[in-house]
Order: sequence, then C-alpha cells, then structure tokens
Amino acid sequence: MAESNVKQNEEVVEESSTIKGTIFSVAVVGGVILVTYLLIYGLYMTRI
Amino acid sequence: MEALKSYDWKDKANKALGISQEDARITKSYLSVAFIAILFGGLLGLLQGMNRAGILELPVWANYYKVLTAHGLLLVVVLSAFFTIGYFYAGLSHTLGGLLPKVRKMAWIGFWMKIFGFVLAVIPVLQGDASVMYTFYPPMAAAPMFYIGLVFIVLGVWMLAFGAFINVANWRKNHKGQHIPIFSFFATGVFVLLFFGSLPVAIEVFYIIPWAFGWIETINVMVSRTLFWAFGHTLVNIWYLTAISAWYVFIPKIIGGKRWSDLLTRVVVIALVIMNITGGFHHQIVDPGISESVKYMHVFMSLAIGFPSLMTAYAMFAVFEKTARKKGGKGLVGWYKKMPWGDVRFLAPFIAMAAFIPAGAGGIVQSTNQLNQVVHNSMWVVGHFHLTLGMTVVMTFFGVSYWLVPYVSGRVLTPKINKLGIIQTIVWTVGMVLMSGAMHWVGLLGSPRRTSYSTYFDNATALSWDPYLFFLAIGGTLLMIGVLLQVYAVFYMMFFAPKGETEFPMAEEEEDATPTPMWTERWGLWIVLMLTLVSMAYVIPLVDFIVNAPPGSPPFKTW
Repeated sequence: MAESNVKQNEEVVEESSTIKGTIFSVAVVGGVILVTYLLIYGLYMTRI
Repeated sequence: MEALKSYDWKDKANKALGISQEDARITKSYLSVAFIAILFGGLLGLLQGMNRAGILELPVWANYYKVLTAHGLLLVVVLSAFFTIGYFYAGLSHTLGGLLPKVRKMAWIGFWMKIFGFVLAVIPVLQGDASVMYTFYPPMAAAPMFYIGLVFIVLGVWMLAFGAFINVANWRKNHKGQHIPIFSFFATGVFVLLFFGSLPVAIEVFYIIPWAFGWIETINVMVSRTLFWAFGHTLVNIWYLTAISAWYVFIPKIIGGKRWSDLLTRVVVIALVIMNITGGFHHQIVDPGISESVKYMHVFMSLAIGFPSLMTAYAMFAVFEKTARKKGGKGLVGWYKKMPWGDVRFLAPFIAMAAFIPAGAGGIVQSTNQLNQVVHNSMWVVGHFHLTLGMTVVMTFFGVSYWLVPYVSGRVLTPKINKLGIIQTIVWTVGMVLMSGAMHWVGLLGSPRRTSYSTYFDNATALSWDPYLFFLAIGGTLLMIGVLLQVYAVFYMMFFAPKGETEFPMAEEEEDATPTPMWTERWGLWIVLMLTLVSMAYVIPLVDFIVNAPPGSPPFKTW
C-alpha cells in the first residue's frame, strides 16, 4: 500500500514538472511557420 | 529619505485603495476615445468590405479611398494609440505609486493635442482632400491641414512619452537598487519606441508640409517612404510589445499561475526595443534604389524579431502547462482542458496568441525578398495586417478591457458581461478568420490591395476572386456585430456595472525564481545600442537617396 502511495506521489511530481506539452505546442508553432514558408515558396517556384 | 517614505506610503495606499480618481479619469478618457474610434472605424471597414465584395457601390461623396483613409486613421492611429496610452498610464499609476501631478498635466495636454491633431487631420479627409490612406505616401498629396494635424498627434505622443519617462525616473530615484516593476518596464520600452520611432515620421511630415503648401516644387519620394516605414515598422512592434505585456504580466494571474521568468521577460522587452526600428525596408523590399546589402540587413533585423517572439511563445506555453498541471491537467495536450475557457479575460487574449502563430508565420515569409513577390501589394498583406493588428493585438485589448475598465471605473465584471464577452470573442474570431482568410487567399490569386471593386472588364481571373470576396463581406459583417457588442460591454462596465472593487491582476514571480540581474535596468545602454543599429541601417541608404537623388516629384491628387 505504502509502495503504491510513493508511486502515486512520484507520478504527480513528474506530471507537474514535465514540459512535454510546452515542447509540443512550440513545435506546432514551428510547424505552422514551416508549412507557410513551403506553401509560398512552392507558389513562387511555380510562378517564376 | 522623507521623499522615499512619502513615496512608499503612496505606493502602499495605491495598492490598498486602488487607482486614484485623477489617474483613473485619464485612462477612462483614453479608453473612451479608443472604443468610439473602433465603432466608427469598424463601420467604415464594413462599408469597404461590402464594396470589395461587389455587394455595395459607395456613393461619390463617400468613395472607397476616402473611407479607407478614415478607416486606417481611426483604427491604426486612434484606437491603437489611445488604448496603449490609457492602458500603460493605468499601469504606471498602479505600479509606481500614482502619477506625479506634472505627469497628469502632461497626460491631459497630450490627450488634447492628439484630439486636436486628429480633428485637423480628419477634416480634409471628410472633405475629400486627403484620400492618401494612413501611409500618406508622396507623391500623393493631401491638403496641408492633414499634415499639420499629424504634427499635433506626434507632439501629443511625445508629451505622453516624456510624462512616462519622468514618472519612471522619479520612481527609480526613490527606489535605488530595485528593478522597475515589470509592467512599468514594458511601458518604458513602449514609450522609448514611441518616441524614437515617431522621430522619422515627424521629419517626414515637416518635409512634406512645405511641399503640400507649394513652397517647394518637388519631393524626394524614396526619402519620405523610408522615413515613414522607419516609423511604421516600429509602430507594428509597439502594438506587439503592448499585447505581450498583457500576456506576460496579467494572463498568468488570470489563470491562477505565476510569471514564468522575470529575466526572460525583460530580455524580450530589451531585444524588441533594440532591434525594432531597423526593419523598415522589409516594407519596401521591392522598392528600387536600395542596395541588396541594406535590404539584407533590414530583412535580417525584421526576422531577428522572431527570436523574442518565439521566446514569448515558449514562455506562454510554459506558464499555461505549469498552471494547468498544478490543477490536475494531464497528457500531451489534455492539460489544456484545465484552462479557464469560460473567463473572457483569458479566452480573448488566448485566441489572440493563437492567431499570432499564422500571423507571425505569414510575416516571416513575406519578409523574404523572393517570397514577398508572390504576395506584394496583394490582398494577402491586408489579411496579414488584420490577423496581426485586428486579431492578435485588438483581441488582447478586448480581453484587457474586461478587467481594466471595471478597475478604473470602480465597478465589477458581472457574469452577464463575461458571457457577452465570450459571445463577442467567438463572433470576432469567426468574423476575422473568414475575412482575413479570404483576404489571404484572394491575395495569393492576385487580387490587389488598396483598390476599390473592379472586374477589370470582366477579366476571368478577377471574376474568380468574387466567391472568396463574399466571405470577406460575411466576415466584415460579423466583425461589425463584434464591434457593437464590445463597445456596449466597455461603456456598460464604465458607467453602469455594479460598483465594487476590481483587481489590477499583476502576476507574481514564482517562489523559486532566480533573481534578475541589475544589468537589465541599463536603459541608457539599450537606447545607445538601438541608435547604433538605427545608424547602421539608415545612414548609408538615406545619404545615398539624398546625394544621388532622382528627380523629385510634384504633388499628385490621384483620387
């Protein structure tokens, strides 16, 4: 029982200190920049 | 020592009793003008949207270009500046222990100078003598009164900037060895940029006035365009800096969290101040007569602004995640469910931040020389502008209004107005997505900006824009509904909401935060660095434009 409590506490600490959601969200920002860049670059290459 | 004691006492009294009535009146006046401007500016925007969609033919006395000029002036010059000043002056009052009596006087003189200047500028616009749009590029020439009005607007801005500097300097004198409170740090950055950024446009206007009067025959078009964009590019980032001040300082408190990193926040402000003015040529990237190396520097400096922007993105997501996880949020994105979506003070700025992702991406792309040619002078640019100013900045202003207006009015945000605010936010979001999306798309299809509706003799390409332009009209209509809801909410909160105390929601630093080093307070150094970069970016091209000047241009009235 005690062991299980320890595990739960560890999970809470791990869950509150993680930055995986932040990294994922910033990656989405990077992805939008990349896709926009590629879209306009594609149009540029098509039109020259 | 006596002065210090007296100042600390005022500081404590201000925090305990709220803003003084005299300071509150200043902010209420500025915010009232800002929201009246959005009412009229929004209406004019609706007329333009209807015209561009081919639904409404504007009468001769209210032609498209006159309406476009007034729309730009009301929203770009009046709304943004009056909101920014009202907002920061409330913050200066709150964080610095009240405005000094002489600063209050300066705020009022600045207010009336700006109003007087705006009236002078708008009269020739209404008379049809100044349909030069808000960029007033020569060789298009307005009636001289238009430019004289602009002089007073700039003088008013300087008055307010110096008022802010005096208040901050006084606080620093009485709080040696302390950091300027974070919100006043943002205010300092904004007013430094407002002052130095408006210097080029002041020089431009003083150059145009004798030309508009006919005292000199010709004008150097490249010099005037360059001076305008040294200001225009800075203004864009002043809006951005104002918006992120709310994201960094207030949003963490509203969601029940803490500020993430004081040092990072101050570094972002410093970076934006230093690197800002030197990006003007990315607005003139296809202009002739500018060497590639100079354009390269300006594009580099424009893209450099992307770094503090990405730092801001990281900081915001970090605050959100940390706060949401403390409330029990789980998973890779599941923690977003723990955010206070029903609180308009969070929802509106959050959507504003989300809008900045595609807006910033578009900005990065169109700063690139070759890629700019795909979108240059097309409706894409208008869509970009509405996504950045109309959504990222203005929706942040809307979100702020739901606590700032009750705070300065001694009233409270009621659940009913909060609900109205949520509806307004949704209406505005849908409207702006439709309108800005349609603008971006028809821009890619070749539809030009700054032109009234035309089928170009039933040209097939021009006709293909029509279905998308219809969405522009629908979006514009929804935005007008959004304007009416917002203006109602603001004036209800200012004059009719139940009386009570509303908090100025400044977030605190985290308990285990690393102390911020004192070098961040070296404003003299930041200004010297900024001026050095400005010199590097502008001295050579301006000297080149003047020494190797092409024939000047006489004034033209193209409308």
